[in-house]
Amino acid sequence: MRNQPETKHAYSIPRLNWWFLFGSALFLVAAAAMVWVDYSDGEISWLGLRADRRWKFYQREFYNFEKKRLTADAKAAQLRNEEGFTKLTADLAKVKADLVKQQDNEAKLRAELDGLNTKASLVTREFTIEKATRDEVRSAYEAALERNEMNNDVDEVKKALRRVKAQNEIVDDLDRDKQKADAAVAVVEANLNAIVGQKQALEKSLQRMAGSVSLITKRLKELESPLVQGVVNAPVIEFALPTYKVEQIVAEKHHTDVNFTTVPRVDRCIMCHKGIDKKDLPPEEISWRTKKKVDFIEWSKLPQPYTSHPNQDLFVADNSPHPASTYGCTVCHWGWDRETDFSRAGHTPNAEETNSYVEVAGKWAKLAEDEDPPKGVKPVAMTERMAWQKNYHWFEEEFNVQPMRASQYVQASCLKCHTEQTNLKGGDKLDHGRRLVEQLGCWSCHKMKALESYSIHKVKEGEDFAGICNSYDVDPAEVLKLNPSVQIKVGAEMQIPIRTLRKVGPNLQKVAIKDTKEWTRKWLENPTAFRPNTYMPRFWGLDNNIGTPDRNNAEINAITEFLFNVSETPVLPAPPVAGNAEHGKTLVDNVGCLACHVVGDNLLSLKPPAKLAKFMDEWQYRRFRSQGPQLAGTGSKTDKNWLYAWLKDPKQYHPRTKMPNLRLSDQEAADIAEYLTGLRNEATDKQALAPVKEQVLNDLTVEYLEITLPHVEAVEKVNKLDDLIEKYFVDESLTEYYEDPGLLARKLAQQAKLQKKADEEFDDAAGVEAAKLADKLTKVQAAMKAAKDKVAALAQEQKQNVFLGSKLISRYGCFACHDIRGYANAKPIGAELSEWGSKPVSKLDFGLVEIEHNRESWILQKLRAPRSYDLGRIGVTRKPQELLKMPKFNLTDEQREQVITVVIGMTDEKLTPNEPQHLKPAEFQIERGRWLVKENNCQGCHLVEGRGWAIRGTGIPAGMEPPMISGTPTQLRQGQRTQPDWLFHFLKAPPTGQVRPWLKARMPTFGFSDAEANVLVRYFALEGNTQFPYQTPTHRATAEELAVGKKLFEGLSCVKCHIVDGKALGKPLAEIPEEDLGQLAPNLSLAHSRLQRDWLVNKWLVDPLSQQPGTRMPQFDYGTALPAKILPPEVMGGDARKRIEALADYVLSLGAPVNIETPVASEKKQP
Amino acid sequence: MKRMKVVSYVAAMILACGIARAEDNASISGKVAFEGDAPKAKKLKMDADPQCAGMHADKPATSEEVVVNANGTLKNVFVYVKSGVTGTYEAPKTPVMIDQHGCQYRPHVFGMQVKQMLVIKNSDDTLHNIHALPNNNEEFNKGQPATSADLKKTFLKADVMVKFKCDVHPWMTAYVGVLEHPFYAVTGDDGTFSIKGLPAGDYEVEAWHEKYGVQTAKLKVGAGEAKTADFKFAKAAE
Repeated sequence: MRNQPETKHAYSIPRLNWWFLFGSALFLVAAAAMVWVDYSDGEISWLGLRADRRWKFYQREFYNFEKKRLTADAKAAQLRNEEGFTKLTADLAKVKADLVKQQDNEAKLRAELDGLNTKASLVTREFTIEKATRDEVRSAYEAALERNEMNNDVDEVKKALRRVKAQNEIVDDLDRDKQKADAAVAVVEANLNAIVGQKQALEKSLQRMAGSVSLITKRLKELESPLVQGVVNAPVIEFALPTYKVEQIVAEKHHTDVNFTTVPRVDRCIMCHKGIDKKDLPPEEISWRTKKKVDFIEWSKLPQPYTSHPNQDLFVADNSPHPASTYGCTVCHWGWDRETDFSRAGHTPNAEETNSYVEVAGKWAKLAEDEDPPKGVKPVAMTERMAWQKNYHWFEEEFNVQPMRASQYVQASCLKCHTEQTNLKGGDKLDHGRRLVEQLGCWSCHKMKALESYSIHKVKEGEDFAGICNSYDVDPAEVLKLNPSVQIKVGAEMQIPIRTLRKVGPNLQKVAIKDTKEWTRKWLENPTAFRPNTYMPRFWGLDNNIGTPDRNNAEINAITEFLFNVSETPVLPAPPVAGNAEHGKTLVDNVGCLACHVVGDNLLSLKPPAKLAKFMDEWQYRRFRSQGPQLAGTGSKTDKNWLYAWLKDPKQYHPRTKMPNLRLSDQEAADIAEYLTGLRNEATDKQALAPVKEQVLNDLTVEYLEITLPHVEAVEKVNKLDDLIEKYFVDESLTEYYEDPGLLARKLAQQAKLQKKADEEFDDAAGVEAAKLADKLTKVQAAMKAAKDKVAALAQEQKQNVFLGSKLISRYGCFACHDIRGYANAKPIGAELSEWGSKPVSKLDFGLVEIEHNRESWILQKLRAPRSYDLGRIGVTRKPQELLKMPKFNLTDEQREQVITVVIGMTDEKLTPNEPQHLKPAEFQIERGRWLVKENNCQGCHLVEGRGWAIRGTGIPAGMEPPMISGTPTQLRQGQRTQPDWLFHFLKAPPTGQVRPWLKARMPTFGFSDAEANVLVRYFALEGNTQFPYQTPTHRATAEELAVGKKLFEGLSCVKCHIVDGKALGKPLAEIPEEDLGQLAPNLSLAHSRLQRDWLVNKWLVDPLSQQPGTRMPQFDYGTALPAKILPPEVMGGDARKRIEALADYVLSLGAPVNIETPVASEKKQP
Repeated sequence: MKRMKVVSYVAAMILACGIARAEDNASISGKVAFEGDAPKAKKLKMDADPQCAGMHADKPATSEEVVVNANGTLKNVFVYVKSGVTGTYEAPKTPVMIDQHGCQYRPHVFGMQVKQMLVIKNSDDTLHNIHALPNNNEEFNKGQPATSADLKKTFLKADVMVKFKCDVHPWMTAYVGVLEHPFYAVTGDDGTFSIKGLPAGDYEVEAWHEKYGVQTAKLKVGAGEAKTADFKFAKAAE
């Protein structure tokens, strides 16, 4: 063996060992630190570390709450048991005593029975012996007879027979006694059995009570054991059976977009929000516990994240329409579904600042509305965002495309699926917002698909276009507009409109006969100065044009000149009678105007009286009362002649107006016109108008001409504007001749050709056509000539104004809300908002405004100060033509929140195929009906679906208000009360003062088309859950039944209130003094064609109050309790139901055509 | 022996408590004055129902809305202990009666206890309907043709005041105060009231009038004490 030389290394082994030791130690420490960070659930602030598994801390905290609650539950159960035990034990003792008594009784009876049995057997034996003796004697006697040995034995036979008879009687008696005793025993036995049953039930309850406590204590023990908790959740071991663990809901049907594909949502929210599905104790249990001083936890009052879901009727709970197990959380709330970190999951704070934050134990908390701050602490103004930053080091996760919806906007998510439905339960903010967006007309500049609601119809075998439209009661033109290229073949899909939005502003084509130029200029300058709550927005004097008053003045003047120059100007006659303003005021107060208008009230502070709060919230009340404009200042705006004509027939001036016809007499219309024109707005009257500067007008004209022309040509063109404005002076149908200058020449050539053909080929048909065309073209040429002359007659300044006005109307998009001549086919100017809720924040222009960079802040700023994003850029990077155009709407913060909820709710999210996308046919018809109810403001006067009756807020006395249409589901329903036929005709042409002549408010004529009236009739039937089409009652009353009905009708003095045959209170209606009119009840002579028998018999007569709370119709005892004077008890066997039917049949026979005892059948389709 | 004495004292005390509060004999009484000129009693126009008008052919009935007594006091004021009563009081077995007589309610203002029976009588030879408009209880509206049997009703919750009206005869109104205890009174022709049998305690007493609203007074009543509380209503500015 050679000695091996010692290996030389380039490094020192011992030193390496040291290094190794140091490295290992470092790794160990690092590993330990990692485990620590992983398993610590708080914050290691001195290290600047935030625990990644904070949810463990939350879970542990929650278990503490659960423990507390369970302890309380156990105590309550125990207390209840004690209470129950005492009662149950007492009951048991009583039952046991009863049992003993009954048992004694039984024994006694049984002994008696036994005695009887013995006696009976004895007697029976004796009876048998006697019978045998008798038989023996009788046979001996009969034998003697046969042998003709008649002797004295006959007597003996007779005696024996008598004995037997006597014995027989004894046996019968005994038998009866025995039966009696048997029955008595049976009763006692039944009693015994019942008592034994009772005893067993009581014993069972006692056992159960003991069991309930043991269940709770068992779970409590599990939670309480620190050893178990510590061990199962210890590092490494925890993989087996941890109690702190990852929990998630996989919403299979609800997907999230992950670029190019979608995956089911996996919501881990419940890891921290552990109390989300807990249900609070019922109020009676809470009051019991409070009384017994048992501590309890209300899940809904726990701090976040433990709070239970506030609306478990609709969400989370398994029996709700949106159970958490299938819907999860993020489908509505948004946020990053799998994330477990507070900020990264996308929690979004509310934006509004409130000064109710207090610092408690180092955390900032918001005081509840009725909560007082702790002693010595002064609440601080703060936003939720600031509080979160302080409390949880919250930051905005910028890569999250769907951050959670702030709680103030969470209803926006409903719009994802429920675009077609209104009156959403729990979606009132969204509903208010949608109505506001509809009323403000946002949709007329900005396309919003979610508002253009429609249903899908799949074409079936044998259907045609007209038939389909007819079956839905929709206007074919509307269907065509939605489905321009539809082909009617089996399986094709058609969109059927549910809501048809109408331009919100008035028609301006005849504005010159309604308003003055001066007023129009003042109005345009600042609409709210004249009408504080108008929906008309403000365009001038805003951030980006407040610095150019001269320019604004010229623009406003140009638009006004345009409107008045192109307006039709028919001369309106003065009212045929002189009006009385005082009468006019009374009429406005009474006839129903105030259901839709306010006179001088400020809508934004208007609240329904407390007694109406159950029928509508303040937003609904304001909505109902703002169907029409405020009436204050009417006199400064318009004149008597126009107002009179308008009141007499609103549709004549503006065919699409929602203002109905109240069928006012000449005098009434004149009175109201007199009163309203007397209401003047003095500030507007006094306001002086600045003259327009010529230079500004010239500059503006050139500026707008320069859009299409070079500067030099534009300057020249200023004096030759005729050809540019002539088209506004012809009928709209002729605009095409201006848009296509060669058209007239071509048509003339065509005419010449036709004429030539007729002349040369003797073609009569061509001749007729040529003549027709010639006639038309002559008219066109004449109209064009007239327009040319009219324009030529205008002064140069006027021409410039009309030109500029036309350009400005295009720029600001006035035609989107108003009908303006020459703009019938103009396209809306706003950006489409159908998917705005998904627009990336990076694509929003925040300008130089310092606000949070998120969608909600951007749109809030846009609504508050729409032109503010131009600030700092005007004249620097943006020319006047490039400035923002969005006007400012006069809204409160609350209203802005409602609008924002709608706008951010419109997203590009697609529904998965499993989700129901469209309404069922009945729901569709209900929605159509609701839309008409809303559009025509039926709820301004009536109670529909439990909402409305706004007119009662104007001080109309109870009993004088228009009738209730439908209340809560168990209450009155119009579809059940009246016959569809009657309702149809009533809606089409309501007669004044027929059913309830005492009402001063008048059902107006809305001018419903047949289709619309049918939609409403069907809506009421479906909403009332009644059969449709109407089924004629099969019952035909007999003469006797009618006689009973008549007796009841008279005996119950129905005519003390009801109108029959045009009479009431024994007098003709006309003779009843005004103050007694309020005492009357509906006209029963109309009942036969108006009321449904089913409703009368099953609902109304049985219990009027349950149908209509507060009704003056009393409930009678129709049965035997009725005084004999009215109906003797034996009539109809005293059967209340039969008597009610008789009364109903009699009422339905009143005033009915002869030979018709029951109402006439109704067809589904009206002629 | 001493022990026996103690036991017997205790027994006596227990007995005393059991025997329906021998100490509860405090009372509150007083007068309800009316300030200003007494308004003239309004005549009721009963033309709408000739039967009613016929019942008052000799002398037209007058409204009971405001009745000022000869001594300048106000009639039909419901005075009751609004708060401070702690015990529970069973409803009396005797029913309260309201009669429809001469097309007017008799009495016009009265009180009753929760769950006490209210008997509604119709002495008139015409149709009445009694329509109760409660705040906390269930509304009812029962027709009572002439010669009908009496109606029986109870209220399950305290309710001050429940208005009754007749929809056939709009001038007919009555008011009942429903309470959980028997401490109430209605002023009569002399304008006085007296609430008896009260246990000692701090009470809030309210006087209610259908036209002139409510007035309250706070009183501390010792055991067996007789306190007075006077109220004053003034004619509302019209």
